[in-house]
Amino acid sequence: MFNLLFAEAFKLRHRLRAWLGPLLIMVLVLIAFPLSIDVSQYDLNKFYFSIIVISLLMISFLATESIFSEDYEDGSLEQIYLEEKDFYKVALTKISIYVFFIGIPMSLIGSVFSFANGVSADELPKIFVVLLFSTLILFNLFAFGSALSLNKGAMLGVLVSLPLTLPVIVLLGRAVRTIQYGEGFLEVLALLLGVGLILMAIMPLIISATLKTHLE
Amino acid sequence: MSNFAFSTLQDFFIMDGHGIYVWSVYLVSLTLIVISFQVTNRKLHQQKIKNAQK
Amino acid sequence: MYLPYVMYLGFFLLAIGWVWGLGFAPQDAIQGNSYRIIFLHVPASIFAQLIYFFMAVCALMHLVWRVKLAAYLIKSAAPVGVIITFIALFSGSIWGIPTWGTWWQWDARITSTLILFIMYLGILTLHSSFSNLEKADRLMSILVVVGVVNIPIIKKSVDWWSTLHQPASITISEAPSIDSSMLYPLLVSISGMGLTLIALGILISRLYIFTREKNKKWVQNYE
Repeated sequence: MFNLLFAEAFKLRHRLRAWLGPLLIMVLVLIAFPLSIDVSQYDLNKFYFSIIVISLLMISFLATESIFSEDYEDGSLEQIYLEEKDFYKVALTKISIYVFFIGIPMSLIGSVFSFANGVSADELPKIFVVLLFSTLILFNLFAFGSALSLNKGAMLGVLVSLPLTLPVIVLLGRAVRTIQYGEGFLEVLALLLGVGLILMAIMPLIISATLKTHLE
Repeated sequence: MSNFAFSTLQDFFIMDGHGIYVWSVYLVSLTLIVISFQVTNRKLHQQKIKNAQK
Repeated sequence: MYLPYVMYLGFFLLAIGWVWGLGFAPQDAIQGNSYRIIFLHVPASIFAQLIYFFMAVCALMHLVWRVKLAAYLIKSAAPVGVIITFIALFSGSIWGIPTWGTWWQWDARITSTLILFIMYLGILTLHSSFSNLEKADRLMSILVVVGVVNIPIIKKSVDWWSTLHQPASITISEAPSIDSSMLYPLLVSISGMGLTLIALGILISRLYIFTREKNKKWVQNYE
């Protein structure tokens, strides 16, 4: 198990594009948003969070887009299939690694930028945790999307997995409201974490079935 | 079944100014369903001919 | 063989339900006459969801027992779903103009119906992007089974958000909240719509089977 963890982490470290790329794009998107509107007219912190959520959504997808397809192309997926007949462990490690190396920095960037746009400092950790837990959900769902489309390009994957993620966006909107009003935050947080953990357990199973279908 | 809800036929079409909404919705939906039946039927017919030629 | 009967019975019931609903049901006290869209909107919305459930059952059958026909049924039910979900959305937004004063509202149920619409299209797109049809069938089934989680969320989201959408008109467990003079034509319209859609689904699946199995002997000899 640990060997696999290290191997996947090592792989990601060597694919600079796969982990640094999404983070830089996230920063660029968050910079671009205030530039596109007249900052003097609008109270940015009111709806800056929604832009963070949307960029989190899109960049989670970008980050997981090639999570399986590169391994599929260089044949290592097939090798695993021949050895183990199952992808549960691989999918689980891959997603955890992605959450650890991309999800956490992304949530950090998001909360730092919301701080820079007028959200108060004591709300910062709350925003960070909310974003982190939602990357847990988003990465699982988008990994499923990219497993479905595998070598058919990003468009198909995002088309089939984006509808599944929209409830998460709803929940995030609710989380923001609870942060603003200060009530019921923990409930929403628990819900996000619960959904994230359930997906973490189930989704690799489904992804494994999907990848098997591709390799059969 | 109770009585006809409108006093005149004209009332029936106008429906107190809501007729335009009601009738357009029914018309569009009905057309959509009928067209999908038509198109499928025609394609099925063509496919049958094609299959028979083999 | 039985297809024309189903189709004509569906059309017949739909006609009765609509004429009854449009002409003879009493006027609604609050919404006036615009509520008469209900006899189209509610059947459409119900079947927009039911068709997805049907597809999910088929998908399970296909994944567990590898029933080939189940995959064909999913593939043929999806276009019917697209049509009826579009009708539900369209009728709903037109209905919104006179009653709510807006044709679109970011209300949970409307939004999730729109998501359902996109999901139907996504399923069709997924299936069409693989040239290996067996693989496409299985991937599509997986997606349908995973997507069925979205339907309870559609139901629940009305409770989660406070919205201006009226609660569902008919529930199985509780007494319906609308008067029987409106309920009966509604039920007739629902059954008529159901039969019509079943007929359309059978027709489409027949076309699909004929197209896909065109090299099989029995298809070539059919009629």
